[in-house]
Amino acid sequence: MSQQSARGRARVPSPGSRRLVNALAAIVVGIVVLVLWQIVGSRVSPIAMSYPTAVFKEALALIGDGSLGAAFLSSISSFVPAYLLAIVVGVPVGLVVGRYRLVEAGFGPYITAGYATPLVALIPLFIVWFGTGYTVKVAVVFTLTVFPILINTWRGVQAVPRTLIEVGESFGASQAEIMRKIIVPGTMPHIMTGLRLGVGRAVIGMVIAEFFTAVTGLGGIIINAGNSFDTARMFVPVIVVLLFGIILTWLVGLAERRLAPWHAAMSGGR
Amino acid sequence: MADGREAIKSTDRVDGTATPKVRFEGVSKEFASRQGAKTRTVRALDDVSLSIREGEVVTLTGMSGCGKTTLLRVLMGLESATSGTVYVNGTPIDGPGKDRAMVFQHAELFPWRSALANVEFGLELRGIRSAERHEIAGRYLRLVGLDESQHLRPYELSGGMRQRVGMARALAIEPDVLLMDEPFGALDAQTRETLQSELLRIHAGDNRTILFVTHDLDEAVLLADRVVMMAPNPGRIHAIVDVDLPRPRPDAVELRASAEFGRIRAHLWRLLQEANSGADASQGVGDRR
Repeated sequence: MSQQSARGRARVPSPGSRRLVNALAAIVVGIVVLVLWQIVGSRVSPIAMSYPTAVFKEALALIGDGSLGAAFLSSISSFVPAYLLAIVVGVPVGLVVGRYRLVEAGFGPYITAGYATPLVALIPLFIVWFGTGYTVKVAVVFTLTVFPILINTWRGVQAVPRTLIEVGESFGASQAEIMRKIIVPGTMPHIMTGLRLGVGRAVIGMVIAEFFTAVTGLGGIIINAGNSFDTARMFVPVIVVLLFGIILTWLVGLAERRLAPWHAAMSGGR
Repeated sequence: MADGREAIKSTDRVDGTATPKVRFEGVSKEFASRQGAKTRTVRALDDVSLSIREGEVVTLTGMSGCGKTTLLRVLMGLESATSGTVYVNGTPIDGPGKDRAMVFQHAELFPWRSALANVEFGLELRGIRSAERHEIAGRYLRLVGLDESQHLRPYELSGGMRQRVGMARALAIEPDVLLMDEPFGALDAQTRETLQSELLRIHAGDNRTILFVTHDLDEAVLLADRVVMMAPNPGRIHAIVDVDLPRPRPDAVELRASAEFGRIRAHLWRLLQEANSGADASQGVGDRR
């Protein structure tokens, strides 16, 4: 009897216990990687490779003298406005391109081309236009981020079922009301996907801009530490950038579950 | 054209002198259909004339491709007629209007809105303030038997519940004419019969004019005052059958078992076969004279 119930439980794990097992699996893998990194890293030249304890010591030093905090603030001071600007431009443009066939025919091919272009190659031109200071960093992050947001919004508009728009028409909705009450909420899951992909591109844009324009922020520490062969120090901002990207992606996911909960429920709770 | 049209006209007479609620006058609809490089014109509706009086329930039935849904969409204003005119309350229609509301085949609820907010949609477009909107929407959800689920979103509702919300959404704007496009076709048999009874009960209460598309002959007879049998290629009215079953019809089970119900159903079945063999013939000799 007790054996039977135990077997039943094992066969159908509760969602809670499954999540715990998944988290444990990730932690175990993480620890194994860190231990291997420590063992291998401490046996090779500190220029070629560093190891966790050395990186941790450097991190404490960088936090202690305030340079890590200052670099982080410098980085997000261009990241945040550029990312927000990409939303403010990308979402409305995507809505209009997706909704109006003639606008799509006119602009669509260039938007697609813009997304496919390796925009990093344009940085020298951006420097000519915007100098090497703050503006060019905002411009680089914006240019990289706006395309995934715009294109996902555009595709999202087209994924809104034709029949839902007909419901609006049948109730006498105007074009503006159809946009506001049907297209925008219907496109929300795709917009959130665009924002999530945008985070990754924006983080890359931020670091690259700091490499190739005036050397500042987290990217600046990476470049300076790399140039002086201080590998342990170089890893610190890399990890900060990594965590920054992960946390932002998680926040966008949180916003998605708030703004488009029906979508999460329909696509299996992810 | 003479004899067929004569028969239709005789059953299409409108009682008294009152203007019919809905009048289709010589309505035709052509679609361009592309087949490879060639564009062919498909005549979905061919010179359809029909009047519906106030409070009447008319069901449109026939094989797929006979234009019944197209006729409904023309009345809704979602499609415009290629020629002919549709009148509602004696006025020619021009696009969708607030005197008509549609219940869609698959409910077509907004997935981001709760049941209550879905019902409020049409009221919002009329600029009704939120407190009043809640009150009206709540009343119509109660009418369709769903007040306890008002905060659930469509994905949390069963197919039958969704269709109830779709009915409440259309009824909430109190349209003069309710248009229903095979609303119960995708439901399981038991749910379908429950909703048919609900519709009969609601109609007994408000005596609203209803045009209802269905391919289910049982349903066509059960709900209707008149059944319009349509024929395909081109889509046209083949015959109109009066259903002289008493109203109200509180007991659908009893009604289905009655001899009169069976007789009308059998008659419709023969008409359906006739309508489709006629379609085959029309491609050869042509019964559209």
